[in-house]
Amino acid sequence: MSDTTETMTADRPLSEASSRPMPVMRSPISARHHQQGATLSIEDGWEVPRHYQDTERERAAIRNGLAIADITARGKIDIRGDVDSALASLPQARAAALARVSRSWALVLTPSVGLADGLRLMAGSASQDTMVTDATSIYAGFALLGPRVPDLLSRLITTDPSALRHGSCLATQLLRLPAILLRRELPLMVVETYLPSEYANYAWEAIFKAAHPLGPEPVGLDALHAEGWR
Amino acid sequence: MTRVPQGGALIDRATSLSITLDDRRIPALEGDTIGSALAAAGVMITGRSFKYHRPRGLYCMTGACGNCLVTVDGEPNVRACTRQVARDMRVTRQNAWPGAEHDLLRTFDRFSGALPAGFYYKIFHKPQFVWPLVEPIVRRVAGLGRLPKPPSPGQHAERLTVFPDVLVIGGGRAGLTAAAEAAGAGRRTMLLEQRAELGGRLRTQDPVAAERLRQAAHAAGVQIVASTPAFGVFEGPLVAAAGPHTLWRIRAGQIIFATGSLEQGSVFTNNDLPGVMLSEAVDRLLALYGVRPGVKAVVVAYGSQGRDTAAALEQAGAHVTVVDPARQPVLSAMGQRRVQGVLLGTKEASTKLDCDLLVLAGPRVPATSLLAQAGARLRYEASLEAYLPDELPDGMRAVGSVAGGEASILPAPTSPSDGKQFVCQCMDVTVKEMRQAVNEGFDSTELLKRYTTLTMGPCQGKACLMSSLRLCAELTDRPLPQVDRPTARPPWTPIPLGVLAAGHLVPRKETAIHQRHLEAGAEFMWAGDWQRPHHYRDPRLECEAVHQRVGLIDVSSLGKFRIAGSQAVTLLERLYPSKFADLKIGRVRYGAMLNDQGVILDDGTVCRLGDEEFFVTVTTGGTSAMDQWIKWWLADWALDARVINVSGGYAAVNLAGPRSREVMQRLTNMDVSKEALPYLMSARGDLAGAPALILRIGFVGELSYEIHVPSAYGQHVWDAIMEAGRDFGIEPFGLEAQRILRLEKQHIIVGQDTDALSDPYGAGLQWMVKFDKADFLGRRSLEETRDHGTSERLVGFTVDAAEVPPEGSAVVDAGRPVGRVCSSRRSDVMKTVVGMAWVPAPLAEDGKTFEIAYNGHRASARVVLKPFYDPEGTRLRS
Repeated sequence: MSDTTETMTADRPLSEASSRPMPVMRSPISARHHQQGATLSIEDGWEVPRHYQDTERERAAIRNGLAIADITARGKIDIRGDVDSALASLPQARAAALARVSRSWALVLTPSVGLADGLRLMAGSASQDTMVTDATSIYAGFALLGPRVPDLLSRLITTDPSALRHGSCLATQLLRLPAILLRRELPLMVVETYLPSEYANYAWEAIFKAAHPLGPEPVGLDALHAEGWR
Repeated sequence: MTRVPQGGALIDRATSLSITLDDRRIPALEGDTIGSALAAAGVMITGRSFKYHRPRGLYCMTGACGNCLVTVDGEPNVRACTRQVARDMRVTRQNAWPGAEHDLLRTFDRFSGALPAGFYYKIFHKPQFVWPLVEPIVRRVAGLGRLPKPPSPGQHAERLTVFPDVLVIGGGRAGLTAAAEAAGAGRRTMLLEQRAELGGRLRTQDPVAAERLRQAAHAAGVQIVASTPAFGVFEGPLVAAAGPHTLWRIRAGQIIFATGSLEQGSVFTNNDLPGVMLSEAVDRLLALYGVRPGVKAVVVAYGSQGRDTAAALEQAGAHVTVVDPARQPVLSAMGQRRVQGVLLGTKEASTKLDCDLLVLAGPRVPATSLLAQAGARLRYEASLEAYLPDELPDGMRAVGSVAGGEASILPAPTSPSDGKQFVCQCMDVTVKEMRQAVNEGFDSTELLKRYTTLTMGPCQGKACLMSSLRLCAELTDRPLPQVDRPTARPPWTPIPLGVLAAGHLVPRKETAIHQRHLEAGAEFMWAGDWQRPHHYRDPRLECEAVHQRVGLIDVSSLGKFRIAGSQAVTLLERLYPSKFADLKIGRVRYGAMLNDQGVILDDGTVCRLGDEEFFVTVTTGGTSAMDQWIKWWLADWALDARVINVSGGYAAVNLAGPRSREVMQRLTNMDVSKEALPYLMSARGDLAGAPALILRIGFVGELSYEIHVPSAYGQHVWDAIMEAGRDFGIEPFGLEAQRILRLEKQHIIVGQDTDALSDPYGAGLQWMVKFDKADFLGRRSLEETRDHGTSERLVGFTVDAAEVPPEGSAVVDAGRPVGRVCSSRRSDVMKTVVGMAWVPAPLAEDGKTFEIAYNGHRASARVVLKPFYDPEGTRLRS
């Protein structure tokens, strides 16, 4: 957690934490985190769920079951056009992940703190026919973690998830929504899904409903980081 | 019937329980089905037939026929022969009044002459007043089962989509073998079996061998899904299967059909009496449940299976007589409520045998329906008297008896005796009705099917299709191969609607500020896919706040596009009839997109952010369509421009009212004065700490700022504005207030005030059409309209009436409808009813009057061409 982190709880919502309004960025499902009893904090300007319950239990869900996390706060840069030229300007370490949807469309996923730099670098070096857009607020992001993710995907999508190999991405329909699925190159089983943020509440609700037979656990960033997600 | 010590592979004799049948307790054993428990308890009647209310009993014991449909714990149309018993299960027999044992509606059987095939098309229609009286009775009496009232909450059904390498449909001998082979070769293999147990008929013939095959498949890694019938094969191919509370959608690399064969009954008088059973039913009752279905049996043996069944019955202590139907055809089953004997031979020389069980052993036909759905071509094989798969689509195989592994010798289609001979037991269709239908001209299978409902019942032809085809051939004097097979259609097996509806989703959009609306007590409404606040309190008070103080509305649902590139301006010039080449950076212009007939598709604003970059808004409901529209034309014109839909990425609010500037000044260091940020100008900067794009535009007729921020800041900015506006009496307002306010200004809503024929000339937007530029969509059509005029015009009107004429009311001239009201509201600020209507062009002059007709009333309306409120736009531009 950074030095700027301020911890909030469901009992002590952000609006009461400060006497003057601070520019706080929130996920579209922020209210659900409150309802689910999450402990929230401000990190790099974003209100994020740190944990919902015992972090060890959340870690166990990631390792042995099915965990679902809101990762909307991650920076997202949408590149249309000459993707390669735009990416060439970005130091490898700066991007946490890349969802290469097609030859001319990619979503670069960065830590939110590195977003502005990434945008500047790519916009500056992108060729004339390339559009670089801050897509952080356009997409909500949910991470699906754990060995039961394939079972969950069979309930969410109608395309073959076996095509989703490590590091690959898939533009598909998820619960009748357009979505980008990214299989992370991590030792954990992690599929990140990015979908239009205006559908986030519906999607969160519907994913948990579909996942119900699999016993899903909402998990916070503490458990994610502890299990090696980045 | 009675329980015997032999057999009973599926029951646990040590664990007894009981179920309730109607009001009677029935003992059962763990592992029993409802059907086997009823059989063991001597209950012969499982329900009453569809039309004539004849008693029906167990017939197939495989779930193929529709004779044993019962209601179980409120769930109608459950097959008693396959549903396992559970402790304290409540079973009700269906389609009877007052009860299945003594059903008064059996009267229909006595008067069946009045109910011929298609009777509802022919009788009760004259005199005319009769049918409305009869129809509710017919509807009440018809149908099988009743849905529970109130509806039971049911259980959530889920939908799974899976992609095995190989899908095997059918878990009999051939299916298990094929699945084990495929899995053994390293292919991900899934096997679907409709019954709870595997092994098919092998299970009754050689239980040890069946179990060995099951174990082999399991050991090879086959994913076995039991109690899950495949009910349809769709394009793709996509196989759909229904398990308990699960809808499976299966896309497999290879599909192996091992659907087996179906035992067919024969057609003779009273062939539907309880106690008439297929041999497979008897075999299953004996081998799997230890139930002897009769003590004195006559077995009509069409093949070797009859002899096996007879031997099993004898071993269970029954007295058995085996009959060869080739020498002694069955004329009639005898008895009233159950079989008491059988008449064999010919009409002239018949023999009666007493019995309490009449077993029809064979013939069998391949179960080819799923194959046919999958696109396989079937051919008639005369030597087998069966239709067999001939050409299969790529990636499909048929194995086992569905591929013709068994010979089939069908009985003669009819016997010469009198009485009711049922061709289709599910729908109570008799030979006599078939003959009548053919005589009336319905002489093809498809016509017969539709007219008589033949094969359209719960069994979907499993038990009667071949009999029907043969009878049709006989009645129309054609060879069997020339009789069309009806088209095989899903569902092959009945499935609950709740399973079909599994995973039905209604996606909804919510703005980033949704939670704040909830907290403020908003009443929501659907606006396209969006949930938007209709109002927070009385909309009139919300309007008053906007007119007199300041109001805030969430307009995040507006469609928003970022368009950039060296030819971005060319793209806009072609999409809109307005000019954008001359739009200065930072300026905003209203525009409407047209199709090539000049019809208004959508409207919104275009803001120039840079030389080659624009921010475009469109209507909430039109976002998806405009996204496609713009990208389609961009691809067609091959311009150097890129479009990204950023609608969800930006939260947007409209801060409106005479005091909105003062609120803005508390939120930002930007100069928002009239001089620095005039009407139709934009600014970018920090607002309450968030990066914002501010447009000086207004839909509601007052000084307004449309503020766009990244949606992650939506709640924060909403909170900040409400806080900053508190001293000025700020109020959130909803869609209803917005609709009143915009109507006062005669601002149109595309889709409400326009339709599929409205062009800018008719809608009063001709000022935005610029012909002094290059070609644009709709130009040619608009030139026609410009030169020849328009026949209809959209005008504002006022009505001095207490009532507001509803939207959609007719505009009437000389008693004829000549137009329609598209918007109408009471305006408190104007102290009258205001509205907009399409009227004939000659009426579109200030002060002209017309009539509006609604709900039997007439109101006089007066045309007002300029905005009702602030017609000069002073407040808007202030």
